[in-house]
Amino acid sequence: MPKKQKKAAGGGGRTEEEKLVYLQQRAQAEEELARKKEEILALFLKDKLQKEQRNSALNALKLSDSWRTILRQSRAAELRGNVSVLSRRFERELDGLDGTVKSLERELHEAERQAAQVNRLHLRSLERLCAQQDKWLRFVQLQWDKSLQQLSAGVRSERKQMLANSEQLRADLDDAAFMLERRYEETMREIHRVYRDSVTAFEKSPETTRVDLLREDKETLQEKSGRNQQDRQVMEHRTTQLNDKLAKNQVSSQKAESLEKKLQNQKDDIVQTKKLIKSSQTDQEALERDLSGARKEVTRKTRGLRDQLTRAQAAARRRLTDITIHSSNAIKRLQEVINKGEKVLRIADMCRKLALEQENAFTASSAPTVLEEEPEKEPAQFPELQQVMRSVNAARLRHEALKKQKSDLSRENQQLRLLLRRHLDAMTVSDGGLDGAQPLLTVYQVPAEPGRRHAVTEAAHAARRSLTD
Amino acid sequence: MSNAPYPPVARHHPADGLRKTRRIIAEDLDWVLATVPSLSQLCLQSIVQNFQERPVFEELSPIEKDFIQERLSPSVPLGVTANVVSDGVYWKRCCEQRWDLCDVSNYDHSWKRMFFERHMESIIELFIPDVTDPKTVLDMVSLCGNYVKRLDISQLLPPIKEPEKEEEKNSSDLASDYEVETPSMDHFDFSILLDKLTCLEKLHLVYRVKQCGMNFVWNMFEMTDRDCESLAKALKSCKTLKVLKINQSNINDNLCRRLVKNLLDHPSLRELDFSHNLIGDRGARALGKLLSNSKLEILNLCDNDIRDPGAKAIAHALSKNSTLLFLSLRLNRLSDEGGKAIGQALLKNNTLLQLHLGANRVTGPTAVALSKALAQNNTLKSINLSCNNLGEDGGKALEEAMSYNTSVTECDIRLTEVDEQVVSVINRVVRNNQSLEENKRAPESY
Repeated sequence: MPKKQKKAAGGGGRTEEEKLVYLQQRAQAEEELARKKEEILALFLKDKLQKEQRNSALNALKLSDSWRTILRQSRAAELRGNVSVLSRRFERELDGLDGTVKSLERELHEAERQAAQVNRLHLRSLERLCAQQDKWLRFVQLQWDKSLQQLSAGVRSERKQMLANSEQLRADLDDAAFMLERRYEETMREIHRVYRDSVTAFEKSPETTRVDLLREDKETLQEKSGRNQQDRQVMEHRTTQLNDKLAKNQVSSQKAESLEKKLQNQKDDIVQTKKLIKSSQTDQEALERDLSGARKEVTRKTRGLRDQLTRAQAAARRRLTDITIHSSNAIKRLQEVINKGEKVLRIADMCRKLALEQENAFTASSAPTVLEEEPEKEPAQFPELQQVMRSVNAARLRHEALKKQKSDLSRENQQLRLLLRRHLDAMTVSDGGLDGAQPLLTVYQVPAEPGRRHAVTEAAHAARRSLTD
Repeated sequence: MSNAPYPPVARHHPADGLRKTRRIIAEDLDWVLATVPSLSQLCLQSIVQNFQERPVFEELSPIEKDFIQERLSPSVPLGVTANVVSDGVYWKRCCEQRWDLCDVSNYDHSWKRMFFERHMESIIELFIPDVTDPKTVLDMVSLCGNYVKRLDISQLLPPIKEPEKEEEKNSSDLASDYEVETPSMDHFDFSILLDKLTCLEKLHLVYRVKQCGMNFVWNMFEMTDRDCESLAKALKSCKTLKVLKINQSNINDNLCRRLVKNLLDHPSLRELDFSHNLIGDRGARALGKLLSNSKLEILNLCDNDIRDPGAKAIAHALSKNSTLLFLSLRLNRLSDEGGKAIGQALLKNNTLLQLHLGANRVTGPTAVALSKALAQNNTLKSINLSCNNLGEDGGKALEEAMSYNTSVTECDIRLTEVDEQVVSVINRVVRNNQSLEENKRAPESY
């Protein structure tokens, strides 16, 4: 444009007006040219623009297509991966679901089976119960039938019996009626016969029969009169008898009256005597009571006396026993003393003999006291003293032994006395102490004693033996 | 009085002695005033005391036998008393000592039979395979073989499984299966027992364990194959069996077929009860064969799994059979096909007395078929179609048939969705028939 402007400027040298006009024209032309050129340019640009637009659109399309394909490719790979993963997942889930479905099915089967089992059991037990019920019903029915039958049988038998009875009665009645009829007929026949006979007799011989009849009548009349007389006599006889009887009756009635009076008197007497008896009985009872009271007193007194007696007897017996014991003891002692004396005498004799044998001046005296005194008197003579001392010691020893024995014996005597007393006490039964325990106790205790007594007696024997030795 | 030197002596007061004699109260019921019993009494007492060493019973008089039965101790071993002491008070005492509830009317009023049957039952019920010695059972059998007529066994113990052995089994492979000892029998083996019981007439078995508590395992309630084999052999050898009942022991078709195979031509079987098991069609076919081949009178198959083919087999056997008196197909899965087959069989059969088809899936057509049979059959006494959906048509057909029938005394159509009117008509007919029958029976009493 700057060229055109230059041209425009260069062409300006002509007339200025022309130039101006020319310039104007040229400007106009140029303007028009420019305009045209602009238009063409514009058109051209437009076309180009359009083309460019189209191209760009195409290119854009191409670009997008290619971009899409690329995207698709990449996306497809991704998607395939996803799909596979998802498909695996879904398969797993499907398997899981299948498994659960199967297990549910199995459990359903199990449950159905168990339910069926339970139902069957229930059915069986119900059937059993039904059978039981039927059995019971049949049993009850049987019983009912049986009782019905029994009743009906009973009723039938009763009916039969009654029928039989009634028939029998009827038969009896018939028989009786028959009998009666027969008798009736017989009697009727007889009557008829008699009537006929009489009628015939009457008809057969009218006259003779009349005379006969008259005669018969007379005879009968006579007979009747005779009979009447007889009867009258009999009657008179009977009346006299009756009168006698009446008189007798009167007499007897009088007697009866008198007897009655006597009876009454006797009854009165009886009543009186009864009263007397009662009074006497009461007296007797009183007497008896007194007597019994007296008897009781007497018995009491006798019992008291008896008790006293027994007590006195017991005391006496005890005293006796004591006395006997004492006496026996005294006797024993005396005896012992005597024995001792005899022994001492014998010893003295022996001593004398010994002394005589040994040419002793001493003579062993019987009294042990002499022995005691003598050693004090003659202490000077030695050999004789020794002998004397020996004899004295021996005598003293003997004396001491004898003392010991005496003491032993006395002790044993005392014990024996105790035993005897106890024994005697046991044997006597006192009335005052009749307890149940004591007599039996004593009875039981007695058997233990003989052993002891044996021991005691044996000891006595032993002592005696030792003394003699 | 001093008593010291003497020994103490008892004080016998005479009055006390009298009081003592008056106070004696005899608790022994046999106390007699006579202080010396008679020689026969002494002998009997010594017999009672020495019964174990020398059992003397047969030679005594009845009164002496009663005396011994009342005094003999129940703890004398059975080996001595079983064959010597006859039925009587002794067995009653043994029963009452051992069990609380003794109802002897169930055992035909025989105390000896009750004692031995219950004793045998307890031995079998407590028998643990491989732990209990079978010799105990055999000894018992030899003693009581003559007195056991019925065995009602309500549990059969399986062998004890030790948990350690189980773990070993799980960890080891098949090869060790031959090494590990399997128990010799799964339950009590009846083959050692049944042929020795010579009077056995009734055998009830239930393969279950009572009071298992938390140790519940399903195999305690199932009869296994080995059990079935031994039982089948045993049943074949028992020649006097009349009644066989095996309930609730999971008997399926195979077991049923095996059992039936051994029961064919059994000389004395009269009653068969396989109720509450799992018998299906094949088992039912085997039973149909059994029906034709033996003298069964009672067949109870309630609560099994028999469907139409099985029912058809049984119906076929029924049409030819002339001994069966009671048939129960209650609680199975019969539908109309089976029902129709049975209806047709009834047209030919004239010995069946009671038919029980309750709780199946039979509907109207079956009722129609049965009514045809009812109209002309005059031996069937009791028919039970309860708990089937017979509908109105079936009801009407039945009503019509019953009006011609004179022998049915029990017709049970409860819960069958028939009309009330039908029910009342049928009940009237049934009552008529009942009175007819009583009249038939009544003249005999006169």
